[in-house]
Amino acid sequence: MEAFLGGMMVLADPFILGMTVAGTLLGVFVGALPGIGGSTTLALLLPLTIGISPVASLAFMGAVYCGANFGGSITAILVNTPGDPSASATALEGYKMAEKGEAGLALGISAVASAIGGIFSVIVMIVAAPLLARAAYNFGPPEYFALALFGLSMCAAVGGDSPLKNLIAAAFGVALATVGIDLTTGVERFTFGFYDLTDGIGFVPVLIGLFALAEMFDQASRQHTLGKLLKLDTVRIPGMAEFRKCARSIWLGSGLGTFIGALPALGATTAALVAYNETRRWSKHKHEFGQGSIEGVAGPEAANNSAVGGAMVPTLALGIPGSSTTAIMLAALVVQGVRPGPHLFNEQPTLLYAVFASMLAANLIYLVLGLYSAKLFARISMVPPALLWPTVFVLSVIGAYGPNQSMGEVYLMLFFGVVGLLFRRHGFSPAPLVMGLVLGSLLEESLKQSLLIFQDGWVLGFLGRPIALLLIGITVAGLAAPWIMRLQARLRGATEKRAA
Amino acid sequence: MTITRRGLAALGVAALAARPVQAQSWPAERPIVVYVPFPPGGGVDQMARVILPHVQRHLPGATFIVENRPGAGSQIGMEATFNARPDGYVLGAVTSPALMTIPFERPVRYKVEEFTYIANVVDDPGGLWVKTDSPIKSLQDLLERARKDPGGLSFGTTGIGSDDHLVMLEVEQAVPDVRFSHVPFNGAAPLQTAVLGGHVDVGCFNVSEGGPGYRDGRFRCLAQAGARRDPSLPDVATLTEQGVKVVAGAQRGIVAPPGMPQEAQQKLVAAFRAALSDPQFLADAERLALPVKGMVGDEYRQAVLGLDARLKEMWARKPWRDQ
Repeated sequence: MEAFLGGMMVLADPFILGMTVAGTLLGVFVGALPGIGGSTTLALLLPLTIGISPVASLAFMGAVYCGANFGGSITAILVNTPGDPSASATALEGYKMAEKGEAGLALGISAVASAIGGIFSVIVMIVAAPLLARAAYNFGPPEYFALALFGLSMCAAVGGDSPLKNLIAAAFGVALATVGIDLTTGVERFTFGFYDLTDGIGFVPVLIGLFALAEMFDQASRQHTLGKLLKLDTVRIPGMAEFRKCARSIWLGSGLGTFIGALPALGATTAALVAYNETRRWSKHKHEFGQGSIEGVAGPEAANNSAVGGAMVPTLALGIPGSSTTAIMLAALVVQGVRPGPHLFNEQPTLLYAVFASMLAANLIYLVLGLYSAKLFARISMVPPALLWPTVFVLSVIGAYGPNQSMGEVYLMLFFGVVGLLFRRHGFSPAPLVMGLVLGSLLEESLKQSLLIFQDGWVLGFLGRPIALLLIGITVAGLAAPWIMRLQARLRGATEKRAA
Repeated sequence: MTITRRGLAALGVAALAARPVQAQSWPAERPIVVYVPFPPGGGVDQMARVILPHVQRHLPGATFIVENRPGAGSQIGMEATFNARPDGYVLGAVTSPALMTIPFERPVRYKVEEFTYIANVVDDPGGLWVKTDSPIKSLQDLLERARKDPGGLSFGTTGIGSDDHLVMLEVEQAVPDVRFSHVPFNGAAPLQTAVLGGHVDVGCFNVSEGGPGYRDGRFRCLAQAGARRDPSLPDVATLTEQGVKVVAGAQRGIVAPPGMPQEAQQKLVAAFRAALSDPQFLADAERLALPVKGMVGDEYRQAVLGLDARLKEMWARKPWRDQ
């Protein structure tokens, strides 16, 4: 208890509080900028953190991480440009809401859901970090395969004109995920000699291209853009009715996000995509999805922020990074001479609780910031497209070039912009493609790793993995559900006819 | 104007009194950029960030900046270093075996022999790790099981062609009839989790990566591939001590583009030599459990070329990747 209070007291130090506030604001800002997200910013700021104390640098980095996950949703909602890959699911429903004139509502619920998700995961971190970290050990290649399969299983239902088109888009995404050096054989696939493709197709250029550029090209081709009827709702922020409606998706998103974040290597982006699927599956208003469902914003936003706390669990408890962003935070800690691990909980509890306190503070800061500025940001959706989109384009090009100083990624972004436009013209949705790209490599690599582990006895191998079987079972059930229900209805109809 | 004798005398005094003007010269003109070919947070990045401040102290006027240029397993960063202007303001961090093995697998825009070798900082031997309650009790136990069931034991590494993979290949070559099933992972983090969860039978990763887990009692180390015992793991015997003549690991150092001016090169090498034996650096390295093995200039170059020759021979005998 003393350590907990001691950790909280850390916030009373004006320098640490200042670092937390500064980190949050910076995080929200870079999160909103397309391309440059939380992890790139932390990488750039790493040298600066070496000079300050471990507590202050952790507080700062944690705040940037939390802020960026929220910030990404701002541009995702307003201009269909996920500022951070973790906001890609938010763009799907959020932008549709903005088009309907409900930008304020979307931004507001995003702030609240993110804050609830973030706070939930910090509490879980405080209470259960060592336990959760141990549970993560049970996930090996077979379980990751089952998880990726589960994640992809709802692809057919997400957005777009028809399940078949979604499956085509998802398959295309998985095919794109094969580009690059294959993990298990070392062979280069589909790189055509381009160095930029050796590591695969990065998601940042694909996301910016598919969402932002495609939207921009689409708008540019519409000669007669009618001034949209701006409903007063544009600046309305969510009220109790909306919160009650989204309660289920927020809890679902928070739980999923914390758990997925805790699995090493899977972070906020995967959490958001899986949460989107599950929110839709369990929603009482399924028909709203694809036209601007508020639950479709709440669920993924809660998930991507709770993945932050989740990812900190293995990072602090085991010294094994839970996501690429936490890998940078881990490095910053190590350079300072702080070695995370179970002993940290015993030896330096104040440090840990200081981290928790600053993350809680960061979540509250962007909640307040988000709600107050939702009205202000929402006005951006009213800026004339002729001014807005060229600015977005400039920012997008900078964002695609920035992380790796690579013109190749800019060209990739432009290519996917065209792909995105074609998708729109023919009724395809970008969401399944993104899911295929994100989950495709996990799916393939973990399957191959599992087969290498089990060798010839792979059937028995999989049968001996309860968690994997459970996930596969849920996947199959989810896919078969429509048929089973139809069969049941037909049988019931047949019985009734016989009775009549 | 008329030149008076007084004028000449004044000129003469002025000429004698004038001090030679000091032009700005290497290394003070601008910051020296060091390309690290991996994303921030990894071993090479850490090595660079730890040694450079100490080198800076021993090289007056120099300022170093780390720039991460990740991609293609370090190929992009190494090519950037090789093709940069050799004016003494660009350096690069490299790691072996990637430096030597990437050219075997695909065409690259650098030549191993032509880099200017400045200094090696770290030599991180590979280790064979199992989880604490694993049924595999010792190195001999592992080798026995592998002999009885060739290809049945899963051996996790950090990727095809990585230093860990090469440890496995060298062990398989050194001990007759031993074969493992190689399971590559995307880096040390997922590999360590897989070992801890018992999903693979044994994992190979570097001593600096496994050290913390070992000290926390989560891993047991069956053997490590260094030339001698590591001070941070005094109870762990080397492979050579246990009868398997394999010495392998990852070396991380600093190089410069070919054709670097001699004077700058010598000053840099001297600064690195001083930094590597600087007690403050050694204290930092110990705090971070970095296995330092300092080699500068020509000694480093010979070591690299020697390793290159050995790896070329291994590849010629049995390439570990289809071309």
